[in-house]
Order: sequence, then C-alpha cells, then structure tokens
Amino acid sequence: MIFGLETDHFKEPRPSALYRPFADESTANDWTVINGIAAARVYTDIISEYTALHHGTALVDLGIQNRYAIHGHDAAKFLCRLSSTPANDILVSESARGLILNSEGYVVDFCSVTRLSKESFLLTTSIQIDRRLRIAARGYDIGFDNITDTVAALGIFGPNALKTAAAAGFVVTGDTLASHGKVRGVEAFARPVELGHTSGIEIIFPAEEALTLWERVRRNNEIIAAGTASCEIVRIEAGQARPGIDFCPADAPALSGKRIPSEINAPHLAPLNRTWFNGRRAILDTEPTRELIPLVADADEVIPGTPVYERPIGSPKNTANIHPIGTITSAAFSPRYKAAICFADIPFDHKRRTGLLIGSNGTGHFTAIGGGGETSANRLNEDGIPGVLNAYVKTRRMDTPETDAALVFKKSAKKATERQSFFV
Amino acid sequence: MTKTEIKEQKPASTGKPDSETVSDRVDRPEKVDCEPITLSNPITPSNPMTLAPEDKVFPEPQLPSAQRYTEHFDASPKGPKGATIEGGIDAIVIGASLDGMAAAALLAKAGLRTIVIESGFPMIAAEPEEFTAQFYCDPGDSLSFGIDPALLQRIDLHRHGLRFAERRMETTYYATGGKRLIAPGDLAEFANLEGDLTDRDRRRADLFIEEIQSLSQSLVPYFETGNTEAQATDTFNRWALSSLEETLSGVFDEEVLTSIFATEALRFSARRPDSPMTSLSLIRRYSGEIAGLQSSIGAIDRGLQGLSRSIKRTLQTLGVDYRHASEVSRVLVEWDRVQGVEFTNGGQLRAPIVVSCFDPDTAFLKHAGRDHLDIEFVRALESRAPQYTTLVARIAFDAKPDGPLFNEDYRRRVIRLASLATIKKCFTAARLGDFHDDAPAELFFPSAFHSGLAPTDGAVAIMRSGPAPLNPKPGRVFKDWEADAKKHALSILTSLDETAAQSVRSVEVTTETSSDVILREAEIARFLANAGGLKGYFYCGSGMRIGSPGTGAAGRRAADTALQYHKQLQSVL
Repeated sequence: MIFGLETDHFKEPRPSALYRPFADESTANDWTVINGIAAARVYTDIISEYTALHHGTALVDLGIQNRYAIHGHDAAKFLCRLSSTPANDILVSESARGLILNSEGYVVDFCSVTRLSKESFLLTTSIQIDRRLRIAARGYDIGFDNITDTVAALGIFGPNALKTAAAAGFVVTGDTLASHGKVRGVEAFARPVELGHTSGIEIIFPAEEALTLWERVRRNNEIIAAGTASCEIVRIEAGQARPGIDFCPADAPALSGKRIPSEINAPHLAPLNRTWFNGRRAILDTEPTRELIPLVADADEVIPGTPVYERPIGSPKNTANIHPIGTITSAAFSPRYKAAICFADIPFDHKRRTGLLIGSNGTGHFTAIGGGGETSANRLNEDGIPGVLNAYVKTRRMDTPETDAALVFKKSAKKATERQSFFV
Repeated sequence: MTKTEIKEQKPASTGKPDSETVSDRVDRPEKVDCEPITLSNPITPSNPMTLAPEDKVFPEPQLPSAQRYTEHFDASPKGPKGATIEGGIDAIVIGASLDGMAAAALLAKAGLRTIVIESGFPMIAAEPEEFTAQFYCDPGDSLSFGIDPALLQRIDLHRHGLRFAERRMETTYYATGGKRLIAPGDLAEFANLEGDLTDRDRRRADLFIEEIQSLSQSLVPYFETGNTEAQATDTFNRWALSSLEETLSGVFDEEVLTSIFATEALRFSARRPDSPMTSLSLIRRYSGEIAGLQSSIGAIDRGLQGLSRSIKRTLQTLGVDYRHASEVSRVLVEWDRVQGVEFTNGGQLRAPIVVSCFDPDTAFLKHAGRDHLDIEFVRALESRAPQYTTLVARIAFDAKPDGPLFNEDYRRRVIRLASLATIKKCFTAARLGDFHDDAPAELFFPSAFHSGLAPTDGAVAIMRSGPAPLNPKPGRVFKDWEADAKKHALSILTSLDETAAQSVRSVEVTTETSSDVILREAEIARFLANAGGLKGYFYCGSGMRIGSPGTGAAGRRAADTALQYHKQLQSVL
C-alpha cells in the first residue's frame, strides 16, 4: 500500500469521502495534500498511531489513493499489458501487486489489481495515471472509470483488524480473497491489504454512505486513526520505495531520478516469467546503475537530502577527502529500531563491504541529529554539537520484507526466466 | 515451445499441377492430403512440400537445387484446413521493396537460408506501365537521390546490371518574373550555378550546402542504432529548433536563393497540419549519395525498376527463394522473440529472423500486434495520420515544340520555385482541400533517357507538386479531385512553357504520401531501430529512412543487425 506524492498545488485540496469523520479525530491539525486530496499527517500523536498499527487497530483513510474500475472483454489482457500484475491468472476476488513501467523499463508506479468478476477489475495506484490508461486502452475492448471520488475507502490495520472488521459486519473469508455484500443496507466490498508488513482490510463503499459505515466501524473506542506520518514509518520499515520521494515516476517530466524495478528493490514485482507487459523487454536488457538501500542510522533524525559516503577503510575518523556517493531520499524515526531509518540512493557499484556514513562534510547544514550509541564515530563535532560541521553518522543495512523478497528473486527467478524466455 | 498440432502436406496422386503458375525449378507433387503432426517432427528440406496452385515463384533463373526449401501452403479460402508449417529457414523478409530485397541479398550472402515473401506489398511493376496509348512510364520515382554506397559495394549491383542514365543531373530553376538559374549536378560546384547572382551569395550558398551535408551525415548514427546521443550537437539543436523561414532569413541577398532551398525542402514535404517546415526538412533532400557524390541527383536506367531488377538478379544469384504466397496475417511472437510468420490461410513459415519493410503501422500494429508492443511505441505510431500529399502527374506530349522546356537539353530536372510566403499559402490551401495556383513543382522527362517510353516525336514527363490535399471531400470544397488535379498540373506546365502545354495529349494524376517531419521520424526511429524490442524482428520500412526512398540503406542496416543477432543465436545454441 503506497501513497502518492504530497503536492502543494493551486487548487484547494478536495476532501475524501471520509474526510469529515477523520477530521473529527484530528487534534494535531497537521494536514497535507496527496493527489489533490486532503490527508492528515498526524491525528493525535505519531507514536500512538504507530503503536496502534503494530499492536492494536488503526483506521487509515485510503481515499487518497487512485482507483480505476476496468471492465470489458479485454480487461485482463489490457491489465497484463499495462502492468506487471498477473491479471490473467488471478481468480475472482483475488488481488495481485505489480508495477507499471514505461517502455524504457522505468517505474511509473506501484499498483494492485483485484478481480471483481470475469471481465471486471479494480486497479489501485498511488498516483494518477488517467492519461496513460487512455493511451494504453486504444485498440482494446475495455472501458475504465476513475472512481477515486465516488467511493470511500477505509483501511483497518493491525493485528486486530480482522476482528474489528468482523464486529462491524465485514467478514473476509480468507487471507487473500476479497468479499462483498451488504452491511446495514449499504453495498460494500472488503479485501485484504498490507501496509508495509502490517496486514489489514480495506473496505470500499459508495461515498454517499461514508458516514453510515464509519459509525459502524468506529463503535469500538479502542480504534484510533493513523495519519500518513505513521504510515510512512511503516513503509520505510517494510523497505517499500515511494514514487516522487525515493524515485522519480517515469511519466514525470524529469531528466533524472527514474529507476528500473531492480534499482528500487522491486524486481520481484515485475518477474520476467509473467506474461508480456509494458517495459518488460527494456528491463531484460537494462542493468541497474543505482540502488535504494534501507538503512538504520546511528541517529535520532535524518533529513532527506543528506549526503551518503562510503566509509573509509581503516580508522573511522579518517574521513578527510571523502566524497558523497548518494543521498538520503526519505527518513523517519522508527520506534521499533529506536533510531532513524532511511533510504539511501547510491550507485549500484559501491564498495559493499566498507559500509556507509551519512552526514555533512563541512557544508554547515544539519543533516543527522543526536541519538545513537557510544560507538558512534564523529558523532559530535569539536564543539560538542551533534550533527553539524564535519559530523558523520554510521549506518547499517536494514533487513526488510521487500529487500528480502528482492534478494531471493535476484538469486533464482530472474536467471531462470531469462533462460526460459530465450529458448521458448 | 509448446507442442502444437499442425498439419503437414503429404504427396498424393490426385489432382494436376498448374503449369502456368508452378515454376519448373521446383520439384512438386501434384496434390496433397493432410494429417496432423507435431513440431517434434519438423519439416525438413528432404521432405519438400508442394506449392499451391495460386502461388507463384519468381520465374527465372533457376535456383541451385540445394536451396529448394519449397514447402508451403494450401491457399484455400476455407481457412486453416490444409495449412502447413514450414521450417528449415533462417530468415524471412516480408515485402519486396528495395530495402527488403537489399536486406535479403545481404542475409543470403552471409549464408542464411532466406525467403522473400512478396505478397501484400505494392511491388514495383516488372515492366513500364502504359498510362495512355503508346506512352509508358517507369513505376516509382524515376529520380534517385541516393543509393547506399555500402550496399553497392557489398552486393555489387553494378555487376548485376545497375546503370545510370545520368549521374550528375543538372537542375533548372524557374523563378517568378522569368528569372532562370541552372545548378550543376555536383553540388560542390553549386557556387558556379548559371544565373545572375552576386559573388557574396554564391559563397554563402556554398557554405550553406556544406552545413546541410555535414548535418545529414551526423544524423546517420541516430538512424543506424536509434542512439539519441548522436543528434545532440550544437548545429543539430540550432537547426532542430528553427523553422525553415528562420534558418533562411537573412542568409542570402537574392530572394531566388531562399526560394531554391525552400522549394527543395518540399521534395519530401511534411504531411501533418502540426508539422511545420523545419530546417531539418532540407536534410531529406540533401542526404544520400549518387556515384560518390553526396546530394547529387541521378537518373537510373529504367528508373526505380532498373534498380529493383539489378537487386532481383543478385537475389537469384544468391539463391534466395522469392515467393508470392498468401498475405501475411501476423508475425509469430513467442515471448519476446519472433518465430516466423503466419498467413491468412493459416499456414506458417517458421524462422528465427523476420525482416519487414512494410510501413510502420502494418509492420507493427497489424503484423506484430499491439499486445506485444510498448504503450509509448503504439502511441507514437498512431499519431501519424497524414494530411497532405504530393501530386504526381504523368504527362504525355504528342510533340516536342520549341520552347523553354524542349528547346534546350531536357535531360535535366526542372523546378518551378515558390517563395516561403507562397509555400505557406500552399499548405493552407491544401488543408482546405484545394490546390494553390503558384505551388512549387518539379518536372522530369524519363523519355529523354529511355526512348521506348514514348513515340519518336512525343515525350513523357513526370511532374511532382506539393503540398496537395490528401483526401478529397466531395461536396465540401470541390467535387472532382482528379479533374482539379489535372487542371492544376496543366496550369503549372503552362506557366513554364505555354507551347509545350498545348501539345499535351493526356495527363494522369496520382498521389505520393509525403514523409513526416524528421524530428517525429527520429522519435519513431528510436523504437523502430530495435523493432520495439522484439528479438529477431528487424525493420527496414519507410520509418527508417532519413532521406529519399530507394537508397537501400535501411535494408542494409536491418540486415547487419539481423546478422549480429544470428551470430548471437548461434553462439547460444
């Protein structure tokens, strides 16, 4: 479950269908805009929300994602071409994750597809892809509707999510299958989703019935609403890159920052043994040049944009004349690791055995602040001020579900599919 | 490859061979029955199939017996029943254009068993067409703006009968107000053109041509490999970002020189309403090489047909199987690799290499199928609807009266010039479905080189004028497009030589689709150069030409890439 980029544009942000009840939960009054829709960063406090996501039950307004209803005789074929999801192979009520790539193999967005019937699908994306859909739909017997503003999407996450949903009348029959039915006379659709490594249920229902079903779910007072900031921590912990933050979406008018799947730990989402999809041939022929690494920093806070260095061999204090090889793209403090966690965008061919440092190199800008253990090298500068001039912070790699899946995939599946595709 | 049940033709004793359509160079049973087999039992050269009665093969000369890969299909309109799968082939070339045949020749020369499938492609006619009684015209463009020197050298077309009637053709420019200039055939000598021009203008014209020629050379790698880095020179950027008007503005003192380059840029003019005449349009005209001279114009003996014939002879010498088969319905794509072609009758030819020289829409959208193409590639292909065209008029003269056209040596090219302002008006008129009276035109007399095209006293001329409206819209702007087009051609002729116009016996008009803007072509070429990523598929159609058609360069490039791929396949297998 990935959110789109936060954007400040000229239009007033639109309220999502569940804006009103969610706004009532907000005491922090910290709002942002995602896909033109208002979204709360924090409702009460970030630690409570994070804890609820991990150990209790949290509600997330998923109306900020884009949803498209795709229907028609060629719907499955069309989705197989548009994205790397195996839309042809999934059964009714099943969902699949995938990537949308452009013809050069660069990632446009993450997506998920749920089969609603034989010829009807729900496509969920983090950014708007209406134009791409219009272009791709030429020559196919399909129709598609952007239903983002016409449905409400409520996410229930946490270990007790299933129980909470069942208490409200939404019974999901299995771990992978979606279900639909009527709750208090309202047509609703529920499907299992994941937010990082936190599983949950997404309930989709008509926007005009938002308050009715909200009341139904919210009867349990132990549930709290979670904003995008706590979701962001969970995302980085899971090792999932975010378009617009960790890499540039391929459809954006930018010259650099575009990434192929293996550069953002997502090669397993575009395996070459799936049916043909847009950009498949390009990634077959393209070698990664960058790498997005999840790191745990020896600091309490890391600011995106912080330079990343290869750790010099020998004394950790021997930091003279080292040059940055990349930057931090996104970061947050993780209560789980009790340290700042972040993504570092660095060259693929960096020296893997030396480790990475982050910090400033005489620029005078704050980049990494405080925290850490006693072993932190150069954590304090000469004046005892943390994280300023000539201060470096050690990091270590973070194992995440996404990077683990990518690693396994790289070792086995890719070579097999390449060989297979050559001889078939 | 999955096991698939297919049909195999087996010799049987019923039926008769069709003596009119079956070449005697092929051993062929009379009729066949069918029974299912699997691909584990492939068809081999030792198990030849028969030609269907309506299939044709190139009649002469005979192929070496070792090259008899003659299995093929029952072209019954009833469908796949009786259709066969044929293997044992290294490469298939779809379409018998010059580029296609050039590619086939190079592949065969490298030792690949190659088949050329002609069907469905508008083939260059074998003989001149009689467009009016006793007056003939060579098919295709009689003028040649370049033949790929590498192709000439590698398959030695001169040895197989390629001859030039004129290598360095002069051009006579007629400007408004009766001014006339004669440009020499060698553009390196352009500064010495006959006419009233200042020395300063002559020097500038010389430098201007040099710049165009060097720029067109720098673009070659872009079309060779689709490498976008190749174009990013300062000169390219300056030219790409300037309209033709901006580039020509203030360069010459004499307006006539500006008109010469503006009119020459129209020779392969832009064809869409949003295609302005950019400076790069000049590259189409001034790219290419004839007889070692860049940008020269030549007349091939017997026109494009003469060139085509010499390549055909090369194919025969190399033992290429040359077929009229059923129309290709699709290219077989399995995963990302092509595996052959399928015909409308359900039959298949299996080969790891397929070269297509159809237009991009047919080669990719129709044959390969949009399901196998990237979304961005399909979008680029689908935005290419033509809006303008070039009017081609074939004119028969009963006599060669004394006048400006026939009074002098008419073994030359004649251009009626138009100013930039007039060209703009022509585009507007064409957009509204009309011909502009002062449209630029090119006139050429094929009968001056090939006397058999017209009676002794007569002559044949080919006139090209554009931009002209592409689609006549009856009842809207004008009712009879053909009558208006003939009238337009005659009015141009009258403006050049009134006495010659009076001896016109008949005019036949047709159209010739103009090329797209070169920048748009370059965008498409990025995809076409690697055939949209389809392994084993190679493209040498109209989308891969920098300049004029008929150079064979696109075919040579496709063959080179295919040979590299073949080598890679061999090393893997």
